[in-house]
Amino acid sequence: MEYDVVIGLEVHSELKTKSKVFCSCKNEFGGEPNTHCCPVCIGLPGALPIPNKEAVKMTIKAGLAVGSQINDIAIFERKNYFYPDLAKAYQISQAVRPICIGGGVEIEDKNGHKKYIRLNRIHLEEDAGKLIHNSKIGGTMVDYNRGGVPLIEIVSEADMSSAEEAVAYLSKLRNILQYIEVSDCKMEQGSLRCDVNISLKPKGSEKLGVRAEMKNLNSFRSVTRAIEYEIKRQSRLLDEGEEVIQETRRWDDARNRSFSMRRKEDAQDYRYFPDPDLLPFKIERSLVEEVKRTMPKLREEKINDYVNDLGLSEYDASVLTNDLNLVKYFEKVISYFNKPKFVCNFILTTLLKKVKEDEENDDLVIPIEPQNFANLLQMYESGQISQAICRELFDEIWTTNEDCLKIVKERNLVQNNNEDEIKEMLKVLIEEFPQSVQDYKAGNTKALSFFIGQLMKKTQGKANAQIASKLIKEMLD
Amino acid sequence: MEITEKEIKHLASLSRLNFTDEELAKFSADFKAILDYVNELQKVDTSNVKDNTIIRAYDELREDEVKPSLSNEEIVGNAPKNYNGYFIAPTVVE
Ligand SMILES: [Zn+2]
Repeated sequence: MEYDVVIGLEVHSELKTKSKVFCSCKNEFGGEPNTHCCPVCIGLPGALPIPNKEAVKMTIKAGLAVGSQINDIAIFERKNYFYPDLAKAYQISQAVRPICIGGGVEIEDKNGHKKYIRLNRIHLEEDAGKLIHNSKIGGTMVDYNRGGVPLIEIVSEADMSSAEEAVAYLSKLRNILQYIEVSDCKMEQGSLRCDVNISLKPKGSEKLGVRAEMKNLNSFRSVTRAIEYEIKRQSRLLDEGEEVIQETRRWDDARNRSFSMRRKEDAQDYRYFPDPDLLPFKIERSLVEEVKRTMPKLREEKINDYVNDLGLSEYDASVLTNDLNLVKYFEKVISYFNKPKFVCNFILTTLLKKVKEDEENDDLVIPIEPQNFANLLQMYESGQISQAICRELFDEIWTTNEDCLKIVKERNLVQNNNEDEIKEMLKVLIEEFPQSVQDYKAGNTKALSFFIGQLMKKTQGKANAQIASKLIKEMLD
Repeated sequence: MEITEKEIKHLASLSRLNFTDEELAKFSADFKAILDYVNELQKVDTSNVKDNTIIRAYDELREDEVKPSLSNEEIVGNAPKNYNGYFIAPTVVE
C-alpha cells in the first residue's frame, strides 16, 4: 500500500552565552567533570535560579529570524522527570507561555521547489548533564558541566513528508542559528541535535496515523537513516495489518536501527507547573525592537552582497554561504588578498573537496590559517608558483599549517616563467622523444600533454605550464 | 476528591519510589487530606479579587557574566559516591 509520510522535528540548540541560563557558571563545552557547577546547577536545596538576560535575548533573536511572535509575558515551568542527568529531578522549561510562538522557514528541494515549514514555538530551557554508563564501577558517572547550559527547543509542525525535507529543514535552521550568532550548531559536540516525530497514513487519507518519536539524532546522516528506517518499519507493520504503537524509540547509529525505549502506557507524565522560584517575566516591545536592530545579515542578504559587490555568480555565492564558518574564513582571506572570484574558485574546487575528504562529521573545519592560505593563493595567482606546486603546497600545509612563503623560499619552488629557458628544455625533450613528435604530426594531440608532463618531471613541477603549452605547440607546428 | 491507589503507585514509579502496602495506604490518606483541603480553598469566591501575580521586569534578570564555580571537591564531596570527579549514580536504564 502507498502511504503519506508525516514528519515533525524538535530541534535543540545550545545558546552560546558566556554563562549558564540560571546561574553564573561558565557555559563551555567539555572541561574537567563537575568543574563548572554551583549550588544552582546541581540543584542544592534553597539555591535560587535567575534567568540570564542574554539567553532570553538570543531566544528572541532566533524567534525574530524565523518570523515568530514574541510573547509579552513568558513563564518558566518545571518539567518533572526522574533521571540522573537532571540534578533537581526536574528541568526548567517552558510549556504554556514560551518566549516565541509560531513562525516558519522556507525550504527548497533539489529541483528548486519551495515549501514552507511552519513552526509551533521556540522555548528556552536548561540542558541536562552528561551520563557515562560504567559497568566496571557498577554505576553511572554524572557530569553536570552541561547541566544548566541554555538550550532552545524549536518545535515544528508536522509539515515535512520525507527524509530529504527533514534534512533541508534542519540545515536551514542550522544556517539561520549560525548566522544570527546564537549557537555554534556543532552537531559533533551536541550543540545541535534533534528528535523526529513520524507517522504514516494511507495516501490521501485525512486521518493521522499513530506516531513514533525518534530520539538521539545528532548528524544529518543519522536523521536521514533514522527516518528511512522508520518509514520502512511502519509501512511493513501497516501492510501486514498490524498496529503502529505510540512509543519513543532511540536511534542507534552504529547498528543502523532504532530500539523501543518506552511505550505510551509507560509514557512520562511530566506534570508541568510554573516554577515558584522563577516569576513570570515581561518582554517589553522596546526589547524586541532592540534585538531587531542588532539582527545580522542572513544568508540571502549575504548572497546578494557577494553577487553585487564581489561579482561572484549566484551559484558560487550560494555554495560559499551555506556555512557561516566558511563565510568568515572567506572574508578573512580576501581581507589579505583581495581577489574574491579567484579565492572563491579555489575554495569551491579544491578546499571544499578536501574538507569533505577529511571530515566524517557535519562541522566545517579548515586547519589552514586564513593569512597562510591567502599567501598561497597570491603566489599562485601572480605566477610565482605553478598550479602543480600550489596544489602540492596546499595539501602539505593542510596538515602542517607551516608558512608557505617560507617553504617556497627554502625549497626554491619558485615557478620558472622564462620563455627562453623553457624553450631550451623543450628542445631537448623533442630530440629525446621523436616518436611523440611523429604522433603529434599524425594528429594525436595527446602528445602535447606528454611533453608537458615530461617537462614538469624534469623541473619538479616548477615550469610554467601555460607558457610551455604555448611554446610546444609553436615548436611542433 | 478521590485519588486511587493506582494513581499513587504511578506517581511513585515516576519518582523511582517503592511503597509497601502500609505506606501506600498512608499516602492515600495523606493525599486525600491535602486534596480535600485544596478543594475547600477553591470554594472561596475570588471573582472580585484582582490578579496579583508578580511579574518580573526584564531588567531584573541576570547579566550574562561568569562568576567562579565551586571546586570539584565541594561539588562532588557531599555525594554518597564519587569517582574521578564524577558523581556516581545508580544506573537507570531507560
Ligand atoms: Zn551553576
